[in-house]
Parts: sequence; structure tokens; C-alpha cells
Amino acid sequence: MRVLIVEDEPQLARHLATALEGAGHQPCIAHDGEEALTVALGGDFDLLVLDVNLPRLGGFEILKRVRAAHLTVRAIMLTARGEVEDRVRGLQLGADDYLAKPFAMAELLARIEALGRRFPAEPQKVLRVGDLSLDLETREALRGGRCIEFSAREFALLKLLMREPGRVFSRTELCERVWEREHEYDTKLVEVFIGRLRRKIDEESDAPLIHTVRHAGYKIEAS
Amino acid sequence: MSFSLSLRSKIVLLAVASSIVVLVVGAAGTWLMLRHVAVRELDARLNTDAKELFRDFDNFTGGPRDQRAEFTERFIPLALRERWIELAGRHGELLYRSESLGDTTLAGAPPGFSNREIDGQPVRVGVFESEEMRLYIAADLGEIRRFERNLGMAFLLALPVVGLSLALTGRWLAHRALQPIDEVTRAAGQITAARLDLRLPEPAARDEIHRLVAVLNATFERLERSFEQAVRFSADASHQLKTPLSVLRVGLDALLHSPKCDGAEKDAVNELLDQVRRLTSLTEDLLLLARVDAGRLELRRVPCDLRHVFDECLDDARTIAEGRGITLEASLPARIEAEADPGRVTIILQNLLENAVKYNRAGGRLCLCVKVTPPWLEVIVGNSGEPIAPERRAHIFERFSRGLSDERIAGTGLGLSLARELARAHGGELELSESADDWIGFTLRLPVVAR
Repeated sequence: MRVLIVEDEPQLARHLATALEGAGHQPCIAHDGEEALTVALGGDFDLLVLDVNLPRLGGFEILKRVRAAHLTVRAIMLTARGEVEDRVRGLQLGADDYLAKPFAMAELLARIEALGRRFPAEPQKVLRVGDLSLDLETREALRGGRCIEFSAREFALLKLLMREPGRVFSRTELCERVWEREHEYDTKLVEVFIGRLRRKIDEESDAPLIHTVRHAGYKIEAS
Repeated sequence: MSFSLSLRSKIVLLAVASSIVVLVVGAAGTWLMLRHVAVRELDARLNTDAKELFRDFDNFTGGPRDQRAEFTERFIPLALRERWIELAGRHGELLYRSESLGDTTLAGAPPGFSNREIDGQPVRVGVFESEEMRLYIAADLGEIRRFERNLGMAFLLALPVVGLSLALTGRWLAHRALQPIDEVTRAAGQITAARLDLRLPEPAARDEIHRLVAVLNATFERLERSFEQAVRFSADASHQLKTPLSVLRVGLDALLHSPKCDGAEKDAVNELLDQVRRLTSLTEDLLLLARVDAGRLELRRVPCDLRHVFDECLDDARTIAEGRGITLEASLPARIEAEADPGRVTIILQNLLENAVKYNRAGGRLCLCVKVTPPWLEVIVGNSGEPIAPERRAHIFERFSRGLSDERIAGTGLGLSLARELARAHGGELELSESADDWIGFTLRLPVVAR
């Protein structure tokens, strides 16, 4: 995908570009709003990664003008203000997604990946990894005919892991995405909840699904 | 009671009361003066009568001096026959007494003029002396008394009428005088955090109200400026703080995934990532408080079942509590319906539950009790542990205040302050409800329906 990164902080823009390249995209950087608009209107981009707070021309304004020019480019807004009104405004102006700063690079890449699919995946009701299936409506899981129930946090954690089987989630990212707010016992919480999931899912099985990746984090994968 | 009276009523009451006092005093004075004048006139007439009589006696040869026995009514001029007259000789012997006096005698009357009664009728008696005799003349006081009564009555009747009209005039005047103040009050009421750009209308007259309005407007001006600064701060700080955090976050992520980073280094980078997350969270709390202070906290209140929020928070609390041997008891209804911002309620609950674990003793108890009794949703979070000293209770909701002065207990000291602000933003309240021996309880009240 050809991606235009519009971000006034050079270091952040560089990191984003490197990571996108690593994921097989062709990134291009613009540092201020006016430059970004010219480049966006002139070039053939698949995706804009737009900072909201930009010198000379704000992210919302760029999005509005791009949409006014009937460009069908997709857009992800990055903002320092995780405020409701910003989110609503961005989505109203035709942003496809929205990410509050600071964010995990893995999350940004995952969201770009999701936008990149030509046909967005049907919202799944049941997630499957190996012989484990998780019903998102009843919040119950089945493994080898055995029914497993989960507490609120266990379910949220398992759902996150099962959405992207095989991807390694760092503890920090799990904390961010399951607990959203910082806990004073973050690390311990993640460990305890992973432990519980293991007991419930893997204890009576020869083929464990939840794996610890040393120095990196956790993943769920059928071996 | 006087404290609850409006300024307008006070002015009217004072005006009416003081006017009535002045009126009563004035009327009484007038009444006394008129009465005095009337009596003086009567005395003058009695004096004239006496002189006339004495002159008649002098001119009348063969008068009472010579023939006492013959002294009768005919010596008295016609004009004086309606008076009561008594004549006494030099030694007090009775020379003449009007028939109308009957047995009553005027002889006891003191010299000069005095009042007395004849057959129950008030009279004025004058005593006059010549060389040979003493003359008592009495005149009817009835007329003067009637005049006094009528005048008094007229005053009494006029008083309520005058009082009422004074009250009405006073009311009107007070209303007119206070109307600008009412307008100032109304206009000031419309100036809220949302409309700080409004100003009070300046009255045309350059009077006291004009000065008040000028001072108030200057105050609003300063308020608006500092408010704008606070708003700008929360927006600027948000950007300024989060940009370096983003660079850190993304940079550490990149480092973590670079092939040059080996196992031990990865652990270190993960630690750093955790610290960045911590710093981000602290920043977010501070910015949230800044927004609360600037009156710009946006709540996304939706009708929802908060049970899920409670379950998640309890799930965490139970996990942490178990690790420290704390027993958690929770009693909550199957559904907790309310119009609330679930994200903000999560923050409140998380802070309360974290505190309840943090300030608990090992092997202690933690209780969460939820009751929905419209219009309130009541949440009580209690835990065993050292009670909060009375002198510290007032400060626990202050920022960067720590419940116990125990440095071993981690925390930013923002939790309770933030929780309270968020509860208040919902139109609710968070209070320390219990601090007894080995038990601390917080009560959170949130309105079920948004107002």
C-alpha cells in the first residue's frame, strides 16, 4: 500500500515510515499541513495517516479538502486528544479509523492491515484457533466438546489474542488494549489472567494453545 | 426571619414603619397643640366674662354689696346665663350660686383655671377675685372634648390609609430602584463556563448600579482570560506531552522488534515500555483534571448496563486481592441500568477498588455493595485497615494526597481526587462515609438518570 504519513514530529514520522516499510508498504512523509495536502492531492495514495494537530493546516482540514476533491483514499487519524468530540468529528469527516497517541506500533499496523483488505471481513460471531472456538455473543468457549466460561477480563483478553492468532502481543500492549487505563498492578494482572486462561483452556489438553514468547510476550496459536 | 426577607420588602417595611412613627408623633403633637389653644381661648373668654361681671357690679348701684339677699339671677347678664357662676364674699360666705349648679359648689376650685365635673359633665372653672368677692365661673368643656375626640378619630382613620399608600409607593419605589439589580442578577446568571464571553448590560444612569456592573464586568473579563488560559493549557499540554510520549513509545517498539535487540535487552525495553505506559496514564489523569478544572470535561452519557463495568473492575480487584490474601465480597444487582459514561465510571471504580486493596491489611476484607434506588445508584466500597485520622479526612480528596503517610504504598495521589471530580461531573458525589476501627468506607452516589 502507498501510505502518506502526515506528522510534524520528525522522529515519530521516521519510526512510522520504518515500521510501515517493514510491513511491506511504501510510505511517504509530509511534515506540515499544506505540504501534505499538495502531496495527497497530487500522488496516488491508498492510505493517509493523519496527525490532527499540524502546523499551518490541521488534520481535519486536510481530510475535509481531500474528501471534497473526491479522493477515495482511506484515512487513519492520529490525535493527542483522546477526546470524544475529536473522534466523532474525525469519523463524520470521513476518517476510516482513529488512534489516540501514544499508540503501539503493532496496533497501528494491525489497523492498517484491516483497512487494506479490499472487502472488510464480516464481523465474526465465533472466533476459532485450532479446536478452540469462542462465541462472542454468549461469551462461552468450546474446546474438544468441553464448555468453558470466562470472567469479563478473561474474555476480553482471549478475544484480543484470538482475533490475531500467531501474533505476539507484548505485555504492555495487552495492558493497553484490555485494561485501557493503567493499573498499579498491570504486569501482575496480565500474568495472572494469562495463567487463568491457560488453566481453563490448556490444562486438560496435550496441545497447548497459549504460548509465552520469551522476552516478547504472549500469543495464541494451534501448533 | 429578617434574614429571609428580600431587600425590597425590607426597604418597604422600614419606610412604612418610620413614616408611621413620624405620622403618629406629628399627629399627637398637633392634637395636643390644638387642644391647648382651644383651652387657652376658653380661659380668655372666662376672663372676659369675669371682668364684665365685676364691671357690672361696680356700675350697679344697690348691687350685692348692699343688699345681699336680693342678689339674684337678674344681676347676671343674659350672655352669661349658660355659664355656671358662684359668688363668695370676702370671708367665703356664699353670695350667689346659679340654679343650674344645684347643690354642687365650685368653691373648692384652686386659684386660676382648672378642670372639674358638674353632674358628670366636664367643665373649665376660672376663679377671679376682687376686693370684696371671689367669683367662680365654669364653662362647658364638652365642645372642646368633642373636638379632641373627632380630631383623634380623624387621625386614627387617616393612619391606615396613609400607611397603605406609603407602602404602595414604597413598593413601587423599591421596585424601580432595585430593578437594575434584578437585571444584573439575571444577566450574571446566564454567564456560565459555557458563555463566559457574555457581559452585563451597563445601565444608562451613571449611578451605584453602574459602578457595580463595571466592577463585575471587569471581574468577568479576568475570569474569562484565566479560563481561556486553563482551556488552552489542557489542549496544548495534551499535544506537548503526548508527542514525546508517542516518539518514546514508537521508538521503543521499533527497538524491541529490531534484530539487534537480544533477550536481556528486550526485557529492559519491555520495562521501559511499561514505564511509558505509566507516564501516559499519569499524563492522561492530569489532563483529565485540567479539563475538569477548565469546565471542559465531556461526558459521553449513554443509557447502559453498568454491570459489565463492575464485573471487569471486580475481576481485576479480586485478582489483586487474592494475591494479598484479602477476601472480596461483592453484592450487586443483576442489572445496573444508568445513564452514565462507562469509561469514566470505570476510572472511578478502579480507583476506589485499588485503594481498598492498597490500604488493606494482609488477610483483610474488601466489600463492594451496589444498590439501585432511583434516582440514585449507590456504591459502597469498604475495606479493613487502619482508619484515616480525623485531621487527614478533609485532605484525602486533595490532589497528590496519600491516604496514609506511608511512603511504602505506591500511587500518584490523584486517584481519589479524579474519582470525586468524575462523580461530580455525573451530578453525583463521592464521600468518605466510614472511618472506624479497622474499617474504611467510601460511598459513591451517581444519578440513575442524567439531568
